[in-house]
Parts: sequence; C-alpha cells; structure tokens
Amino acid sequence: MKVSLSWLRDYIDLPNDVRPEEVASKLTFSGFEVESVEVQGAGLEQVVIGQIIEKEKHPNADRLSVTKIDIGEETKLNIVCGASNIKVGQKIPVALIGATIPNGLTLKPTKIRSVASEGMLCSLDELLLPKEWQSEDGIFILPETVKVGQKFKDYLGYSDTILDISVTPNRGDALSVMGIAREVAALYSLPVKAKEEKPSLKGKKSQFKIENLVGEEFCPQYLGCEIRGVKIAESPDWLKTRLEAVGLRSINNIVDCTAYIMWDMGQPMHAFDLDKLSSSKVKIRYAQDKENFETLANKKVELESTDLVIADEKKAIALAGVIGGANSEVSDQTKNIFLECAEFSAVSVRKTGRRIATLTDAGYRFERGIDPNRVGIALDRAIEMIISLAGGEAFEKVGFSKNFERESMRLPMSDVAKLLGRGPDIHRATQILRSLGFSAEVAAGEPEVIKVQVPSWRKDISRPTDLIEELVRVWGFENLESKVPVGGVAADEPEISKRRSYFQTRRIRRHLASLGFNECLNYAFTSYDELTKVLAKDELSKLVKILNPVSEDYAVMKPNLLSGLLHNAKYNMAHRQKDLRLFEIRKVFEQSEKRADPKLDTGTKESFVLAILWSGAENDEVWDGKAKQADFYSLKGVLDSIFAMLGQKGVQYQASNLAHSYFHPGQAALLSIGKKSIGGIGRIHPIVKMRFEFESNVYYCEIDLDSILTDKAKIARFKEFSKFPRVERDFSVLVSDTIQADELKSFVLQEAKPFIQELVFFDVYKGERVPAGHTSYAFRIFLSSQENTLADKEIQEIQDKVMKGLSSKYNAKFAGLT
Amino acid sequence: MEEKLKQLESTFLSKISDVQTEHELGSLRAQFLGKSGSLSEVLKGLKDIDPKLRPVVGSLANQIRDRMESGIKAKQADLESLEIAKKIQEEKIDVSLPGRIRWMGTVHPLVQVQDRIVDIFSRLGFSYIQGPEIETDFCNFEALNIPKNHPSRDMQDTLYIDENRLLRTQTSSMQIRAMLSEPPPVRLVMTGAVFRSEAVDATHSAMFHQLECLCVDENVTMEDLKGTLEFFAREMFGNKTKIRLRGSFFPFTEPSVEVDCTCVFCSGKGCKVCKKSGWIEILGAGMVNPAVFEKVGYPSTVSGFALGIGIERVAMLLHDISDIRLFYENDIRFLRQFL
Repeated sequence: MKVSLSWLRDYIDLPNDVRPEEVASKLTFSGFEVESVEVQGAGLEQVVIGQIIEKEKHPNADRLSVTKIDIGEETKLNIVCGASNIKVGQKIPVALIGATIPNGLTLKPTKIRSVASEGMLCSLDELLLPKEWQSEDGIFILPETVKVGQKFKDYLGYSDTILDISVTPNRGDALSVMGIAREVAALYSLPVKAKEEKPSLKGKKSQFKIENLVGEEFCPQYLGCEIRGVKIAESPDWLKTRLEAVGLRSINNIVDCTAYIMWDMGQPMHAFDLDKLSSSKVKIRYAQDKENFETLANKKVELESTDLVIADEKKAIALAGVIGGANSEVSDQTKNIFLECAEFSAVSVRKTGRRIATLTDAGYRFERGIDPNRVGIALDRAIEMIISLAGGEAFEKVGFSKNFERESMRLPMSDVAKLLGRGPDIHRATQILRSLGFSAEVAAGEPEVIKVQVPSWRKDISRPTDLIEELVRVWGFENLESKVPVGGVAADEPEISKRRSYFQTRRIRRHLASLGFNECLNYAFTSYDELTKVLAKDELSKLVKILNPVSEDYAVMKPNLLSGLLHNAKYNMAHRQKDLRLFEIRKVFEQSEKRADPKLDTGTKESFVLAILWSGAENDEVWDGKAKQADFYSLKGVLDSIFAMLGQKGVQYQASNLAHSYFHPGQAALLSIGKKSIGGIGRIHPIVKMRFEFESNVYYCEIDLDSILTDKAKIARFKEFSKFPRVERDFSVLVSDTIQADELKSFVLQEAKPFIQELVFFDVYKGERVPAGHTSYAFRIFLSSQENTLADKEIQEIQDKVMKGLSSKYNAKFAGLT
Repeated sequence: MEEKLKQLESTFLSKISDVQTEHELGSLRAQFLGKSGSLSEVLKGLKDIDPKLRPVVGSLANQIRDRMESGIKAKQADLESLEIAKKIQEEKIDVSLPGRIRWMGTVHPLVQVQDRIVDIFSRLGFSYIQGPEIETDFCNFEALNIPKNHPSRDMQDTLYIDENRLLRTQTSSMQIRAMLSEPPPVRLVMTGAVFRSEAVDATHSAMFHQLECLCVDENVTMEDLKGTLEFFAREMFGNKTKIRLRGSFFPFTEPSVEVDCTCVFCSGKGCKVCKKSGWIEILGAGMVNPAVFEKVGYPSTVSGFALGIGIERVAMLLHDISDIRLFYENDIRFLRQFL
C-alpha cells in the first residue's frame, strides 16, 4: 500500500519538519512495515533546465561537441557532450557541478580532451527516469515551452515522499490513506481530521431497482446511483499526480474518481456505462454454471454457480467485488453512468478472484474487510467528485444499506498484566485506544476495567487480547521488561519428548562424520521419472503425490533416500570428486490405510531413515601406498559400528536377492531385528550403476532409524570380567559354500560355552587351493573362565568338542591347528 | 711370568681398541679370556714357578683378568650405544609428511545450526519433540487460527496432497499436536523441514527448515518472551547482541512481533549485510492466541509464547552464505567447509 505524505496530510497535521524516515520507523515498529521511503526527485536537486545556445565540434575529438548552455544566469556554461541528438535552441536538463545525480555520479569540474566542462547534459537513463518518456536515445529533450533556469524537479512536479507500506492480512482497514493516517495519528498523538461529509444528496427519483438474490450474508449492502450527462475527459493534473505517485494509472475522470475514493477511504466502487445495460434493474445473483463472462481486462472466463455476479436482465455486467465486465465498461463515449458502492462477502470475492486468477485492488480490500459503516459516505463523496470533475446530474441513491453496531468489550487491566507483565497503566491504555478510534473509558465502579467500543472498521478485534496487542504496539515493545522464564517445567521429560532419540541421532551423525562421511540434505520430493530409475513397479505403488507441485521435478514424496544420494554422488563425481562417502538422515513417505480422524490422521506413513552411500576408496590415498577400494564389508562395518554404539545387538544380515531391486542380487542383504525388517544393504545394481553412469561401484544402505532409536533411558550395566588369563586357539576349517560364516560362528559360540569370549575370522579363502564348492575359514577363539585359569586338559576338551561338532554338523575338514 | 702377563695385557689393550663389532669383541674375549685363551695358556705355567711367588703372580693374573673383563664390558657398552646411535640415524623420518589420518566428514551445516539452537533452548528446559511433515489442514491451519478462505492463508503458498492434507508450511503444526496430547504446562522445542510452493532461486527454496519454541503455563507473559529472545540472541550471536521487537501479524499469536538483532557482522554499526541499519531480522514470535488454546482445549487460565526461527536464514547469516541452493546441492567442496 503506497501512501504519499502530501495525501496523508489531508488527514493529519504532521509537523512540517517531521522526517519521513521517522514516520516510516514508527509505523514499522507498530506493525506496519515500511518497505521503502521514496523521496521524489532525490538526486535532482542540482539539475536545472538549460538551453543550448552554441554547439561546436570538439577540437580534439570527432564524436564530442562543445556546447554553451544558458541556465538563466549571466554566466553561460561550457559543457562537453557526446550525444548526437542535440541541436542549438533545444532545452535540456543540466546537472551542475557538485550534483550527485540519481545514477550515483557526482559532477566535478573537469577537462575532457583538454577542453573544460562545467556540468553535464543528462539523458533519461542517467536520471533513472522512465525510458518511455522519449523514443530516441541521448539527451532528454524538453518541450520548447519550459522555463530556462527552472529546477528540473519542479518542472516534473516532484516534491512528495511516498511510503510503501506492507499491510498484514488482518488489517484491511489500513488499506487506505485514511487508515494509515489513523495509525500515524495514534503514533504521534495527533487527531485525525475528518473530511467534510456532506448530507446525502437529494437528487431526482431514480427508476433503478436493485434486487438481491443472494441474501444478506453474501451481499449485506448495495448502493447505486445513476449520474446522467457526464463528460468523459482526462483527469486534472492534481488527481493524476496523486494517483500516479501511489502507483495507480490514470484512465479518465470517472474511473479515476472511483480509484481515488477507494485509495482514500478503502471502499471499492465501480462505474458502469448505463446505456450498455439492458434494463434499469440491477440484480445481485449467482452465476449460472458455465456462464461466460469477459472482464474489463479482456479476460474470458467461465463462471460457476457459486460465483456472485451483478447483472442486468440479460447478462452479467460484473463479478461482484472482483472486476467489472467488458460489456458495460465506461468509455470515451459514455454519457450516463451507474455508480456502484457495495459490500460483498469476503469469502465469495476471494473464491472467485482466486479461481479466475484475477486479483484486483477491489477484491483485495473486500477479502480483508471494508468499513461497513462508510459505504454510503464513500458513495456520496464519489458522486460529488464526479459531478465536480465530469459534470452531469446525480439521481437519488438506490439500493439497501445498514449501520452496524459497534462491538462493546471489557478490558480488565489484570488481563493486560497477565499477557504483558508490566504494561501501560490504565490512563495511558485508555489514551492509546482512543487515539486509534476506539471509544474507551474506565468502567463505572470498576477502576481497573476499561470499557471499550470497537470502531466499525476494526474487524480484526474480537477479544480483549486483540486490544492488548493494540496497546503494546503503540506503547512500544521497547518498554517491555524482560526476564527468562523459570519454573513450570515438569521434572520428567514429557511423554511426547523425543530428546533421547534426537541425541542418539546426533551421535550417529557425529560418528559418521568422524568416519569421513559428509551429511547431505535433499528435498523431500522428487520426480516420478527419477524414482522409476531406481525402483521396480511394485515399489512405486504406495507413493504419496503432491496435488499442485512447483514442477514435475518435485511431484512425488520420496519413498527412500536413494535417488537423492545417487544424484549427490553423480554431481560430485562430475566435479572430479571420485571418492565419496555420503549420508542422509530424513523422513521418507508412503501411503497408509488408516484415516480415522481427518483432523489428525494424515494417511501417510513417515519413517525416519538413515541412508549411507560409499563409492571409491576405503581410505584416503597416502604417500606410502595405494588406497583400497571400499566394498560391501566396508559399509557393513560402518553399520555394525552404529549398532554397537547404540547397544543394538541381534541385528541379522540375511542374504537376499529380494532386498530391493536396486541392489546387486549377489551382494545384498536384508537387515532385521527378530522378525522386524529394519533395512537393507548392498552394492548398487549394475543396471542402476549404468543408468547413472558411475565408473566405480556404489555401496548403499538404508536403515529405519525408528527401529533402532529409543526414547527410554538406557544405562550401561557393568559386567564382571574374568580375572584369569585368556587363551587363544586358532582353527582352520574347510566347509561347503552353502555354510555361511555367521552360521559357523554361532555354532562355535554355542559349542564352546561358557568359556568362549569371542570368535574372530582372520582368513577366508575360496579358490584353486581348496576343492571346488568349498570355502576355507580360519578363525581364532578366545577362552577364559570366571573361576580359574583354564587347564590344558579343559582347553583340549573344548577344542575337541568344537572340532567334533563342526565335522559332524557341517562335515568340516580341518587343515591344521595351532 | 709377570712379564708374560703384562705383555698379554698390553696386547689385549691394543687389540680391544681396534674392535669394531660385537662379533670381534666376542672373538677377542675368547682369544684372551676363553677356556683355552691366552690368559689360561699363560696361567698353565703357574704350576712351574716358585710356590712363594705364586700368590703374587696369581693376584696379578686376577687383576689383569678383571681389567680385561671390565674393558670388554665397557667396550660392549660403547658398541651398543654406537649401534643404537646408528639405528637412530637410520630411522630418521620426515616429520613434515602428512599423517595417515582418515578424511574428516561433516555434519550438514543446517543441522549444525539447528543442533546449536536446540541446545540453547534445552538449557532453558525446553523438551525436544517432532511431528509429521505431511499434515492435516486442521493442524497446519485451522487450529492455528487460519481458517479456510481467509487472506492469512496467502502468507504461505501451500503444497497439497489433497483437499484436506498438505505439506506442512510451518513447524507450528507440531504445537497443535503437542498441546492436544500433553496438558499444560509445556515447554517444547521442535524443528524440521517445511514446504512452500515457491520457485527455487538464491533466496527461495521449496523446502526449508524451521525451529520453533512453545512455552505455556499459568503466568507466562511477554516479558518472559523478551527475556528468552535476549538469552537466545546472546547465546547464538555473542554476549553483546541486542534485540528489538517490531509489531507484526501471525494468526496464531497475539500480540505478534518480528525480532531483529544487532548485526552479527558490524555489531550494529551498519554494514552491507544489514543494509546500513545495524539490525538484522532474525525470527518471528508472539503470545499464543487464545483462539489456539480454545482449539486444543487448554484452559483460559494459561498463557504462553511461541517463537519461530528460519534455520537457513541463521546459517546464511552466520556463515556468510548468499545462495540458499548451496545447502541442497550437497557439493562436498561446500560441505567440507563446516568441520
């Protein structure tokens, strides 16, 4: 909302020396953020109108001219100029020595190719003025009628200051000069000057009839007035200047009057060309379904039966509160008009405006609520203004309107204290409310209660809290004391607290970072096509899709984090980073059935997952050896360290070609705890690798964090360890390939109970030196007892038991024993 | 005999000085002190001399043996230290070569900032909670006093799943869920991704992160809010940081304020970052609107404050980052700068 200081002064006697920046700052702190303060003609203070009286070729430069300029003083100025569009006799803007012109250039006395130059002839470009003012390039040539020596700024009529104010959606009442004036008045403790409100004009009886077919809820008030015999013309300069200063376009005297009243008072209105109406009956009705309508912005739209239209007997002539129709628009030939001034329901204006994507100043104001008690006054002012500018005769007003009761409210000062602590006292509070147009007085017999009547324009005020906000924003937030809240916190974490699992997540992040992984953050959504690159058809069935995505690239919520990390890897590889260790922790989405309570159930399963991607070297390449390439076991080791860190025992890795279609079927495992699946790990499938054009193998895992984190307190319990020496025994066994390492391990752990502490594989071999279909495992077991030093005999017994067991269960052969 | 012994010792002395290695020393020892060494050879003649002289010669022989023994010991120590010195010389390394450390990874800078802020509020007793990113219209709008078809919905361009479900536009939706399940008093901090239907450019992102605090109790006033904000600003940006409040509008708080803090870069003197104003807008806050308490069924006796911070904004300020897209590009040349 742009407001000029001069227009504002219609309503308040701001001191002449008040700085616009100060007004802006006060408004900003009270909740009306001033986005810019534009001083018209800033930088033009030392630009005057001059006339070229001589022009010669520069002695030392072909493209330059040396001119003599008359600026209305005895001494003429010598100015060197490079533009080609100047002639003797022309009048032009001249920047004097010392000026800093709008483009930032400061003029100093200078010599150009050894000829002195005492100023500069200016182009529109240099003065940051609209290019459209002159078709040719070069110096801005002024009309012959202008006065030499006049300040250029005065010639342009630039003397105002314009504040561009951002008005929050709750304050529709401030979308007018008057509304802003009320705010400024309160901030400066000044009265608002009432504009003269003439008693309702008594014209001839009008033949017009208004029929409301939509009811009071959607059209509480509708007033109209026919004015006959108007003369359409350009608006006078003062009106044009005012409108243009606040960014409105001048059209003609009638339309400008309606725009002016709207900007001034916040009341939208519309003028119809009366002769284009088929009847002298205007109806407010619902549109017919699929009724066609062309707006005065020449946009053709199809209406729906919930849209409100203004219509004559034959056709819709306006979309109520949104925009007028092309079929009844005021034109240069218009002689008679029908002027509309009404109140429409915010919701219907908003719905229609949104649907047909037509956002007008009128619609904007209806959506945010107009002052219902000034509809008639606004119409009277518009009629008066039109008659004074365009002539004609106004008939009696027709239609219906009403006055709304102002809401009464009690504001106990104890409520103020409850919300603000030490706020303004009752005296100051009353004063602030009054300055904002509320009526406020201390309640009879209740010295600590203010009785308040809310002005008709303040639709945002519905409870005492709203009044308290008014108090504090005018009183000043800087006057609030400050303290840090103490007490009131339950000793225990509330049930909903996620503090513990959050801290475990933080540990995981730190841990991965120390292992060399970089955390990535990707968007929660991606494109459908992206997902088809990594997922099989049946994996795409539960996708959550966005109804109105920013673009197709962001249309589907991710069901896993793979595509994001693969893209991160690809991006970094493209930037010549070949060894990548990446991870991401965030939510993934899939549809779920349940939606019992539409208020709370989202019908979506959101899982918090950890994804890790590893490609390239396992360690950094150093000066004494080549780095090993990361493989399945590198990544598995990382995962195991996380499980160990969280005290999560019993995670099973199960070889599975069903893990996910994006994994290499021979190098993938499903992870589970008990029967619950918690994720997968594996090498990225050669086909996916090919699609992404990766040079080296990529290893990836994704773990459901919700399954491994806990919000219960977990405390490590000390376990007594053996005081007796520990012995090691190494085994080398040859078994069939069908036996997996972890099966062997758990068997041995079981056989060697209770003395076995640990089993470590130290060599695994498969190849020429062993029979086909067999694998050789070398492992070491560590034995000790809680009670005594194990005797050789005992150790031998364990050893025998293990070997016997292995050979009978797995048909294991023993290569040797140490 | 005596002569022979003295002769032997002087031969020994001249030989031992030429010894270079332990091996040579061993042979020398064998040669002179061994069972059939020179000294034993000489002493074999002892039985042939005058018995009266025997003790004298014997003692001389013992003295010479002792001297030889200690000479050998000393020589051995010399050789050992020479050997160690030599080894040390050989084992000298170039300490300037890089250590064999693994490359350091990083936690994402946005997460780092988020964690820092959570820690600050944890010190004030705020408990951490989470909530869904896909939300119902009720939790994200309706209960936050943003009715359907109200212009305040325009403040946020929303991505919808269907008519009734959407991608949360603000972390405030978690306030509703928290208050519906937890009776007052509550003191909660919540963080997470939020979404807007916005074209992505240097300062806009369709997804970004917020952190929000909610404090509700019987005697919470705006003074508590102001104090909390001051505490946060000092902890986050340094002890001398000041804040100021400007009136604003959020449907779920009343009064509502925008909070500025003194510019992190110029300490309020005025610079390019703060556009010469000395102040930087940092967050929005306010007292919980009674309309919200009504929606979640809190009694009218409670009051409370809420505040919301844009994580990207704080991170951009702290780290002098001018393009929000860098956070989501995941270029490791960017990520690695935030060890």
